[in-house]
Amino acid sequence: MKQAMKNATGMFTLPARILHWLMAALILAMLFIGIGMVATVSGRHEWLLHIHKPLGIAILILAVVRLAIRLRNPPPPLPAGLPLPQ
Amino acid sequence: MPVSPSLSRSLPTRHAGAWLLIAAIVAAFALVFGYVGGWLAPHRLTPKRIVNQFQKNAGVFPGYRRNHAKGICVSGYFVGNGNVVPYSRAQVFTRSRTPVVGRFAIPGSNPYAPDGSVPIRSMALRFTQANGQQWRTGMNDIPVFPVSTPQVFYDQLKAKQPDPATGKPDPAKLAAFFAAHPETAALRSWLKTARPSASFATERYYSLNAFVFTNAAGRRQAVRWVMTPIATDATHDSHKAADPDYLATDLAQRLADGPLRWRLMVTLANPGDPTNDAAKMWPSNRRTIDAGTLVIDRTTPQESGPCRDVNYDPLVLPDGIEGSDDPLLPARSAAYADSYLRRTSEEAHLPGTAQTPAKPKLESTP
Repeated sequence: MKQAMKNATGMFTLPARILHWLMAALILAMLFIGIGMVATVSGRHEWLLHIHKPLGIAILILAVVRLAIRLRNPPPPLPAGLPLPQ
Repeated sequence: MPVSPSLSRSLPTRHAGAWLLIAAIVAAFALVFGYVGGWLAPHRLTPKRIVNQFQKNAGVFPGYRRNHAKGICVSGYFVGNGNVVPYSRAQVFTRSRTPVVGRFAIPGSNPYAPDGSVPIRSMALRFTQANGQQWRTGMNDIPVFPVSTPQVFYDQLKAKQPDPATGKPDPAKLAAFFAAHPETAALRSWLKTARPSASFATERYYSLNAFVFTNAAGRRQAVRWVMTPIATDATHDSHKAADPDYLATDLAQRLADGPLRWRLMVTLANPGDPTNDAAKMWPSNRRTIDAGTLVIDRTTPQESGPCRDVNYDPLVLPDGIEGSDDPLLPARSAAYADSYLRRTSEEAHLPGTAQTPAKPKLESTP
């Protein structure tokens, strides 16, 4: 249990948790922005497109940051009772 | 793992509330997603519906643009003279030379239509500035657009849909559409005297939509523009009926004699001139500035030319030019993107456009 020794708290670090929920919100927003921008001919097409592009790049950068945080702070082990398929 | 009878009975009831909440949240997301995506909003005009209507009217020609399908690639450059620099900070307007990839075309979705079948010609241009920013524009040789909004544009397309019995648009439907839309009168009266031009070179190509120039100080100025030809030997096509592609023939002949030129004339709006209505012309006394000269010196077929995979989206603009509040602009942008997606995904399956002949060979080698 090398990981458990390193991660004594049994929790994800605060930055990892903040990033997790931030990215969840961003990715969900991207789905709606993406589907919305191709389904309108109004001015919303333009401004949704102008959010979609930088937001996508932001998510890519955040994913790299997320990996860095994970490498520096190993996550807690999975719960012992977790079925394998999950 | 064996589960005791009491546990299996109490589990669902104990968590029923939680499960219901989760299901409700998922369902709410699905509903909002369906609405945003248009599936649950059947009356909303979408880019897909506009492009579908073009296909209904003329059929599907894989790999070709869904409108202005018949065209020809050209290339050359633009020489700015600095005259509009006080109004726009775009690099293209400085005293410089900007490479251009363009396309001449005729409206309609059939890439094999004879040139004389429509009286309108179009010019699309992509300027690539030295700083990497692009200015794309699609212009027509009509001084005013028939309609003001995307919805009415769509209604006009529907009114023009050929009747399956006659193969032609229903005159009653067209008459009803024009009666309901008096804004179409400006273009219709202009078209009455218009004859199909025998040459792309002699036409004036109008931006139609209004745009906004922004100068170095951030001051905004509403504008329209027109490409005015230097060649003035305009003729109509009646003597060229034998060649359905006379426009391409004429263009090649003229270019063999030397490059073709247009002056880019920029018209400045007065305060209060409508920028959101392409069906309304501005008064003819508005100040107009010569912004530079477009030089076209080369033509290539569109199937293999550099314009083929360019989407002449009028909202791809450099710093210093912006779209106006004209509702047709975002609709053009959205519909062009849909048409582009369709034709470029078809290109891979067309002979002579991609590496389709090479593919089976590669696959057969282990």
